[in-house]
Amino acid sequence: MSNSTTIFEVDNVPDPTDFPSTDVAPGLRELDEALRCSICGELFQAPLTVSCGHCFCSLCIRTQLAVKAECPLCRQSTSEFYLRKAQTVEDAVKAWNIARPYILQLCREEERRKAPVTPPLVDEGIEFRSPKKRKRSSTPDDEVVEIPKPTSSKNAQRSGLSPTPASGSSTPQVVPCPVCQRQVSYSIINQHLDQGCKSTSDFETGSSSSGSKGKQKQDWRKLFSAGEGSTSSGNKGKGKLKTKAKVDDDASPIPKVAYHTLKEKRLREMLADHDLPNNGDKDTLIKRHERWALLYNANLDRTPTDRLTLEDLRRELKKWETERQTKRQAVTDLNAYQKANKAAFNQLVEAARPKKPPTKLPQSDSPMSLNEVEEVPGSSSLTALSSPAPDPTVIVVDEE
Amino acid sequence: MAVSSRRLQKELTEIKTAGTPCGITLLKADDFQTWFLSLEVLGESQYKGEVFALMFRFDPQYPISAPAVQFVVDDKYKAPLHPHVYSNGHICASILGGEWSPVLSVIAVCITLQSMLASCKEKKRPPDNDRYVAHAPDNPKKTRFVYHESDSAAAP
Repeated sequence: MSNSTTIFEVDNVPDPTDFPSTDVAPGLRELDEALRCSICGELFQAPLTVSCGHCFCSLCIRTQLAVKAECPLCRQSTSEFYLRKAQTVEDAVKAWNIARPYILQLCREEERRKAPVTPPLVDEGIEFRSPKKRKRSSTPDDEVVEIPKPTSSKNAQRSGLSPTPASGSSTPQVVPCPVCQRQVSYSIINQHLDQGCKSTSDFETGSSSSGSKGKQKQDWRKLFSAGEGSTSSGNKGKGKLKTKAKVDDDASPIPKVAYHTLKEKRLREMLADHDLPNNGDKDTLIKRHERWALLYNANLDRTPTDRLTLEDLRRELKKWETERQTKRQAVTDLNAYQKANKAAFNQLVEAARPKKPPTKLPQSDSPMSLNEVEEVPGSSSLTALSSPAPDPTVIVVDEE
Repeated sequence: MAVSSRRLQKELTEIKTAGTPCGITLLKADDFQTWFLSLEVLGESQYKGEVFALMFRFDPQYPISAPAVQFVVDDKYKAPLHPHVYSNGHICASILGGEWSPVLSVIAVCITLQSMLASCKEKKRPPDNDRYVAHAPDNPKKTRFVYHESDSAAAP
């Protein structure tokens, strides 16, 4: 896994705090939060709902349900059987993936625009609004936009974030766009911003609304077609080009396998069927196939156009396995480790002996050995998964 | 970047921008394997004026697998005297074992432990403290605790 330097290399993990706080940009953090899986913290990837209605990434919830058959959020018992595709959520995330960088940019621009305004306040305010309008709008909210005092700067920022046409519609005037700095009619500044500052001259001069509507439609169409064709570009590079072979629409999920009933040879065949490496001991083979089934089935939960290629999935699997192996090294070195530390172990045994009769079972390193040791389902398999290196004291007891 | 690291990075950002709840401070988080936080029970409680340190250890399966959490016991910090806390710092709390949920976070664990201490009525060690501490594994996750509904320790 990561070492101590990693944390400084990665300052760029997106999360809701990228957006300004609620008093500056109401709802944006919450929106970003709401579209994130509460297990991995990423924007939903192939979201699924559980029977209680909570939503998670396909891979996250499938992995978790294999450990414990309950909703991680409300602990209602559930199972893979109840997972349903959350298509609407997926569409929302897809759109948000595109809108997010744009809105972040707007927020930054807004911040930059606000920053110089605060100290030399009056001048900038005049540029934006005519004296006439300033007199007219004497409500406190409008006032703070023009004369932002330190005490009410929050309000100023909020009302400034969305300059509504209503507040200045009666007197059309030209203002510099906060994003592209071009001169744009104040009444159409919103449309101008919505279109990513791409509006042409007829827009900037504020021509007939019918013309702008037609243009809007065109732009929407462009947006949508772009969304269908190459959403992947905005999708953190997870999506692939159309030219690459994706998993078919009608591909069926890999069914559950009762691994303990299978011979090692059969396992190797099953892995070979999917063009996966089939080396390693039986445990490795099982773990590999399990993980492959998870990755494969989670990929099927994506919209067909967004699916990863099998090549990508194989790469993911390999990455996962390497991660596990670094952890597993402790196990492979076990014998050498045992020999090297024999003296220390013996010392521990001596230290332990007076208090512990040798008749005890190896597992009695549990603190509650007087109680009936209850197998907590999941926790044991978890431990096996995450920490394969057995505890030294157990090994010593084994030796005895 | 691994899922566990990304998730921890997000938690760290959250801590740094939104801050930590009262009585909880981040002491050290230089990597994605071990973090230290300090814990204090504010207000009236058995632990008034005492400050404890928690050590979190994460594995690559985090947050699917629970972090290994224990109180730091060294020259500076001691484990709180509590019926669910062993003198070596190991904690018998269900959410650190079978009741762990991947939606929980480092801060959520801290808050739970804070309230565990706050609700303590009698400062004492678990009844089997000596025996457990003599044989306890280094990593508390390798211990199979038996959880009891009552807060009156894990007595048989």
